Amino acid sequence: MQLFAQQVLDGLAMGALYGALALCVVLVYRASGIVNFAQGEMAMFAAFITWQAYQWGLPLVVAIALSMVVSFIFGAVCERVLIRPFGTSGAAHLSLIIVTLGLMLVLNSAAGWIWGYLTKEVPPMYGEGSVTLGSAAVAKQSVGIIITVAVVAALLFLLFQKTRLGLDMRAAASNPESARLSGVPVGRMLMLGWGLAGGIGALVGALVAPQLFLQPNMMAAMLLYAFAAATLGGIDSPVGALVGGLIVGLLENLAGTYVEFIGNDFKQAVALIIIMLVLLVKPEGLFGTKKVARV
Amino acid sequence: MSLLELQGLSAGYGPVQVLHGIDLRVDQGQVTVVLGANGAGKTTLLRALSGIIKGTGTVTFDGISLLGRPSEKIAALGISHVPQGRGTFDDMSVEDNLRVGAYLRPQHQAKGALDRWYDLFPRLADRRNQQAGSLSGGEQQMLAIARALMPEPRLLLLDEPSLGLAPNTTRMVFDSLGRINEETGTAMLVVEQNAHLALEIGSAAVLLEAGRVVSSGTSDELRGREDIRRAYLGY
Ligand SMILES: Nc1ncnc2c1ncn2[C@@H]1O[C@H](COP(=O)(O)OP(=O)(O)OP(=O)(O)O)[C@@H](O)[C@H]1O
Ligand SMILES: [Mg+2]
Repeated sequence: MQLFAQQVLDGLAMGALYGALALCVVLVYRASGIVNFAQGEMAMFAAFITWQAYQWGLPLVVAIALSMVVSFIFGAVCERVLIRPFGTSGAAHLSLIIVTLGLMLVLNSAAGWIWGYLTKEVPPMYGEGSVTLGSAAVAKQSVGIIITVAVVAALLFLLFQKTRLGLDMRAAASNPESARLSGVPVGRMLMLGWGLAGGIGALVGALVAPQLFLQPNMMAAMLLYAFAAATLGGIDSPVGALVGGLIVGLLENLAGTYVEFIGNDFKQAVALIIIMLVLLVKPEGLFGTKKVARV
Repeated sequence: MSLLELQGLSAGYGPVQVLHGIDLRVDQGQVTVVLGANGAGKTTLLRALSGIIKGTGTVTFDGISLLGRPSEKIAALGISHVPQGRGTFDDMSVEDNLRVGAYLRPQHQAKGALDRWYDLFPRLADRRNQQAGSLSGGEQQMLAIARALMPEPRLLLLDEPSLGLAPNTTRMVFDSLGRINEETGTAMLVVEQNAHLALEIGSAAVLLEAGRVVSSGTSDELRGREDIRRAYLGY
């Protein structure tokens, strides 16, 4: 029972991170209508920036904040420089996906070139110890991660539902042409969406690095889980991304522990199976909007 | 000087040219109706004016050149465009749709404007918290029109406002448009298949054929012409 409770909490912590990365994928999808295959590598690169700033002697929290700011700007610039030249109508779908794949490879080799392929150690933001909850001992980091992601989600909710800026961002994502016709600077909203995705991704990178060990390929599997989470929740739903992430994290952890043949080696297959099943059975996911064909 | 002046406006989609040198003027406070068969280029004309697609030639609004300006800047000059169909934010509530429409107005004015459109379209008021995508087609069209009027534009571009509306709603919409024009002096360029109603509120009209203006004049002049009566008024 104790093991089970621990597995659940660890699963939820990992799931919160999958959900947060899935949230980044969703933010970009809503802005530009594409899945950003470089989202994981952007977070990896940001984790290196955090590590570097920490090495230079900044407190960890400051290093993370700095990396989030840099990543926000980098995300916004990516939209402007790599995506916008193809227009905002969403017609250049395939070209854009190839561009993000290219960006993924560039970031991966750039990180290797700058920092090398040996793993670096990033200390856990919430310390090493554990806390006892009931009968289970849970890593402080796990509890911290769950709370942090909850706070990020709450802030995003407030931004989108309670502020003028959030209203304009939703309008730009919902119907860019009509948003423009109402005077909303849609380009700026798209940059903001990419920027937010970059910034949140940086936080995810810094929180997950202690566990995955920082090296250029750190995020490969993580991105697959995030895709599974986003697919499960509905690729255009921020709430769905978070819920999907929690479910995927739980499934992965419990399946890895209790279903013997899966073990640690086949955990990734769980993500792939989830993606396949959802796309076959309920393509719009749990919270996504059903696409109604319209001309 | 006219509020809106077009000289030799040409536009199209990629290699396909649809508009071939359109000349047109809309005076301050005037309602001009654009008639034409399906595919004549009416929608393309409005899209070129509001900057959704590129055009060549000269277009000036209150003396300011429009061509090459992005849509959101054109909107900021006081031009609102109700696109043909799909003018709403489907996954947002009715009220949020209208609030987006008020982007160009100070927040405190937006509230008053909201109440005004709710008075005019009580169906929207009843559904203010409903998602726009779940409204009926006609309700969506009302919402798109109300949204475009939120900023109190100086020129309203309307692309088939009666699309999907029941006859009595269509009449109600045109009555309101006529009243808005009289009260606020908002100029309008209206594309409409229901030529009877449109010509009632319009003082001038142009007829487009294959991307060219083939006739223009006052509403009465065009109504008086037998060929136009046959083709567009159906009697
Ligand atoms: N997005 C597009 N890409 C390519 N060609 C287009 C596009 N939209 C319209 N066209 C072409 O431009 C021409 C004019 O279309 P437009 O929509 O302006 O006609 P319309 O007068 O508004 O017709 P309707 O009364 O049916 O709305 C048509 O021949 C159409 O095929
Ligand atoms: Mg049309």
